[in-house]
Amino acid sequence: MGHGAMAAAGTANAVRMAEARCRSAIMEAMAEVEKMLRMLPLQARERRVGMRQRCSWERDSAGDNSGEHAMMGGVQREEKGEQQLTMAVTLACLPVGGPLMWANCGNALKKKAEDESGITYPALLAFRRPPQSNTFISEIERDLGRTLPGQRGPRGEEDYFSSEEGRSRLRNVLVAYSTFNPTVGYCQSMNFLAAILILQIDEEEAAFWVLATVVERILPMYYHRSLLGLSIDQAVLKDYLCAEMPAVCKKFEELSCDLSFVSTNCLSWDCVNRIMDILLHDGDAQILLRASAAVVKLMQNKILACKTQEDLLMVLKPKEGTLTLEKGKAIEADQLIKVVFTALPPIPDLPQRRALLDQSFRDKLRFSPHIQLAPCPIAGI
Amino acid sequence: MADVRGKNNYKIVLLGEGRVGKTSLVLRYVNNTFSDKQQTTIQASFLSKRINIGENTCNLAIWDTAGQERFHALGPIYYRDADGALLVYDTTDTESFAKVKNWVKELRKMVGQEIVLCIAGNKIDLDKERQVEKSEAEEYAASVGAYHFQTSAKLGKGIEETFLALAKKMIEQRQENDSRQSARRSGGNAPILVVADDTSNGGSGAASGSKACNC
Repeated sequence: MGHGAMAAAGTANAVRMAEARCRSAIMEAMAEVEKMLRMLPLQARERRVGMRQRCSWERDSAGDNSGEHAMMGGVQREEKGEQQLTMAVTLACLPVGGPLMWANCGNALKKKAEDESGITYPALLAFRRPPQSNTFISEIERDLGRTLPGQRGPRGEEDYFSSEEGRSRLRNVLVAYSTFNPTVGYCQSMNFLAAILILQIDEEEAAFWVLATVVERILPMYYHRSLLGLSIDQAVLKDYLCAEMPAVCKKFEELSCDLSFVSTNCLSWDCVNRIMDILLHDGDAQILLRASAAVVKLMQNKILACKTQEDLLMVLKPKEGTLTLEKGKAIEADQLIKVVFTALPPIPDLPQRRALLDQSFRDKLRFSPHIQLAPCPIAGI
Repeated sequence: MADVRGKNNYKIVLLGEGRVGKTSLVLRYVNNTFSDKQQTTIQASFLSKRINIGENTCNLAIWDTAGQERFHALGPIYYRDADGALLVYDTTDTESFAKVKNWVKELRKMVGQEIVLCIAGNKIDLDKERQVEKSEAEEYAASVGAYHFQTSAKLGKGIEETFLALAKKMIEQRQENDSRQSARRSGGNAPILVVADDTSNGGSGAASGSKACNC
């Protein structure tokens, strides 16, 4: 634990501290690795990417770990011993994952906001909002009753977000965020994000800071009025899909279907939680793109069998229920994560690709004067 | 585009403010279901329905979109090459009616005159809370060449009529386009004469029309 906070912090100090923790933890953990890998192969692999970015020392320390290599049953065989060490690091640093790690992800932003700007969660809740933010509040109110209806609460309560507690937590978190960063305010789908965080973390303020971390840092500009970050990543995803699965790409073109229709919002609860786990751990949207690509990969045969645009849309955008594979089978979390980390490569040059697209998208947006691209005025982030 | 969707396929896009009942209208129409607890639609989703009109069977590809304004940036991929648009407002919410007017402007500007427009005032089951008068909405619809219907997804009222009128007009419009294309490109504006009829007229049309099959 503690690594989640680091992921969001990105400060040199935090990195140093976490690295030291990792270093000592790994020595103890190495002995356990063999056993744990057998038990948790997928979880281990799913942590890998983020760890690789963050624990820069791993390359130097990577030794000959052919033993564990063989353990992975052929997965990632082409990669060097670095891989196994990463897994060991992963297991050592992140024995918990889940709610605790999620909650920790918000700590860095909380600290920064409190230290640098004196912004606290209670102050945000008590803030007297200027009239122009009333739109956000009415938009939030509109969505309160329409967020995960029927979902059980963190302690098994029925239809949690219809209950007084669930509704008020969701409202508070969203209203506080719209005050925290009015350039984003409230964007539909933040209601689902907040709800998932509240359910997992079961603590309102912690859920708020994680939400803020996701919106400000992990998915920057995704929820912004311009949806700039989202548009950029959708463009990245298109290129990635076309490189990885040209036949699918051709099919979409042939049926005049936009590739951005590929989305992960129809996945099972398990899949969503697993993806969130990786998202918060990695601190980058790459997992969202790769999970979307993995969905396409799993559904490849179904997609290629489509003869009309309508067929394709029915496959990709079912109004009700989750995406399904052949014979109506739902996509399972393990299956999805396995494809992400074993059948698809990381997205090459992601930061550079984003930077290139960023400029061209911003140029387009300049012609929409109502869209401000100013940074957050309160937190100065 | 029409060939990708097939000869008798028509694309309809649903647009309007959040929580006016776009999803509920489609679900009532396609599946004949209604839930008080419909989830927020993110981005968009898709449903289709096959209907018989006279001797023709046609397929409606219905796009349901997210209501929040910032998603409008993504709008064009949904309404581009749409044959018809169903613009939904909530009869208990004046603001949502204002949003319909914005949509009409945007669609006329971006797609042109050929897209068939239909405006639906939903939630007439909440008549006590009504804020938008029927006459006002009808007058506006007539002024922009759109149909106007009053609906209740909850009670299943007015919905068949709405989609049927839209479908008939889309078929007519496509035939007109086809014949115009074959008779050389015509210069002027596409002549759309849409009669903004009230529900009773549309209703009788639907009653005498053919029954929709389930898909």
